[in-house]
Formats: sequence, structure tokens, C-alpha cells
Amino acid sequence: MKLSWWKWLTIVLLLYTVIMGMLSEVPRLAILNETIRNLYFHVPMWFGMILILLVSVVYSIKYLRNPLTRNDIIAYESAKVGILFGVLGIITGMEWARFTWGEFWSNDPKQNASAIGLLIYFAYLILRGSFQDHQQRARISAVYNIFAFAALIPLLFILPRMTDSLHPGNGGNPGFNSYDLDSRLRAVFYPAVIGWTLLGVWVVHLRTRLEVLKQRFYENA
Amino acid sequence: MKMHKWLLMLLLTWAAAFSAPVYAQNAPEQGSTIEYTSADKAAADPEMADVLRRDGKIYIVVAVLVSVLLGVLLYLISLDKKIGRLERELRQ
Repeated sequence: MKLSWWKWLTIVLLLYTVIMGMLSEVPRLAILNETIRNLYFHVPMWFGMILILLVSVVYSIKYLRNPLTRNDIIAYESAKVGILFGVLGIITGMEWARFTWGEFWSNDPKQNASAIGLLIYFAYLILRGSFQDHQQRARISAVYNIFAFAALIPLLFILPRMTDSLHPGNGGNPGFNSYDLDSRLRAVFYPAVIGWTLLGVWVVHLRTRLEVLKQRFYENA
Repeated sequence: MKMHKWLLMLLLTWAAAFSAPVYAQNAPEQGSTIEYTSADKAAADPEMADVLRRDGKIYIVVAVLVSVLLGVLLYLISLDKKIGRLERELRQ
């Protein structure tokens, strides 16, 4: 099959994640129990979201510098996939929280902040839908996208650390070493992050090609 | 055409890899459910294909997850091929 190498890598990494995610040894912790394995599925949604939204903001900046339709399409499609990952992250987080923190929503600072972040990105979709003119839509939503990403970083990475949070690694300033990730978790977690992110990139790649095709089709028609 | 052969081959290897042990799982259940006293355990413990029954049947969960994941990935691959074909058509 003629698939690019990174698509094969996606398949291999995701299979590794699912198989090793269930079978590998994990730390035995109270309350968490086997749900610690959610680390391989819930957390990569957020890592994937941030990385794919970063792609989106990069292409928005590229569009402002060089207004090609292709740049706008990539920015839009990756924003949508990033939002999908964020929604999946919040749903999986609520499911996990119900059985470890006791409630679906316990107004944890990181929960609230990520909900606000997602609302900011929902507004991006609404903003895009409210323009008739193609260039105006592309330019104004590109500017909004930059502000949305700039708001997301403090919401997810700075504000939750200023207070106490139920999420690990929050409250105070965690260095990477103080994460209670042991090497057994890392061996699956990092491939999982790369695998899920690549899956998102794959979907962005497909949707972008489809959208480019659509535009060219209407040009010719 | 080539793609179909590839898909078929992938599907067959996947089926072969997973169906054999899963059928073994449907076979006699006694091995896991009936408890033997320690005295006659050795006598009443014939060798069974119970790999998939070990560890609280977690391997069944793995098989299900892998099946779902492969299904989604195969769908993505076929979508990829379809878009590729359209691109080639438009270029001509």
C-alpha cells in the first residue's frame, strides 16, 4: 500500500498504545487503580489538541503574511480537529473524574479553564460562519485565531498552576522531573501522544485535500 | 484494484490473528469457572488454550480495542485513497 511513512507510523504507534496501554505494568496506586491507564488516552487528547491548534495558528499567521486560500483552509481544518480533540479530552476527563474525584465536574481550575478555552474556539467557528466574503472571513478569523491561541496558553498552563488543582502537576511550579510519571508510564505515554497527534494530523491532511479539491471543482464548473 | 487486494490481505491477517484464539475462548468454559480442591488439581488440570482467559480476560478487551482501532484506521486509509483518486482525476 502506498501510504506515506508517517501514516504507517501513526498506525504502529496507536496499535502499540492500545495493546501496551492495557497490558503493560503500571504503578499500583490507591483511588486511581487501573484508571491510571487513562493517561494514555485522556492526556494525549490535550497534547494533540495543543499541537494541532499550534499548526492552526501557524497557518493563520502564514495566511496574514501571504493570503493563499490553502493557508486559510489548513488553519480552519486543523482548528476543527483541535476542537474535536479538546471535546474528547473534556468528555474523557469528566468520565475519569467521576470515578476518581467523585464528580463529573468539580470546578477544578483546569477543568474550568479548559472549558473556557473550548468556548473561545467555538466562537472561532461561529465567527467564520458569519462572513459572506471569502477574503474577509479568512483574514478576520486568522487574527481571531491568534488571540484565541494566546488566550489558551495561560488558561491551560499558567492559571491552574497559580491555585490548587486536582490535576497532577498543578499548584506550584512543577519541573518535568517532579511529574509523578515513572519510566513504565513514559514508555507508553510518549508514543501515545505522538500517535494520537499524528492521527489528528492525518485527518487534517485529508480534510484539507478534500477542501482544496472542492474549491478547484467549483472553479472549473 | 491494488488497494482492494491490500485491504483484503490486511483484513485476512487480522482475522487470522484474532479469530483463532477467540474461538478457543468459546470452547469449554469449565477451566476458569469450576474451582478444584488442591488435592485433585493436578489431575483435573488438563492443558487448555486459556491464554485469553488469564488476567481477568483483559486480552479480550485488547482484542476488541485493536479491532475498533483497525476498523477506524482502515476507514481512514480508504478515505485517503478515494481523495487521492479524485486528485488524480482532476489533474487530468
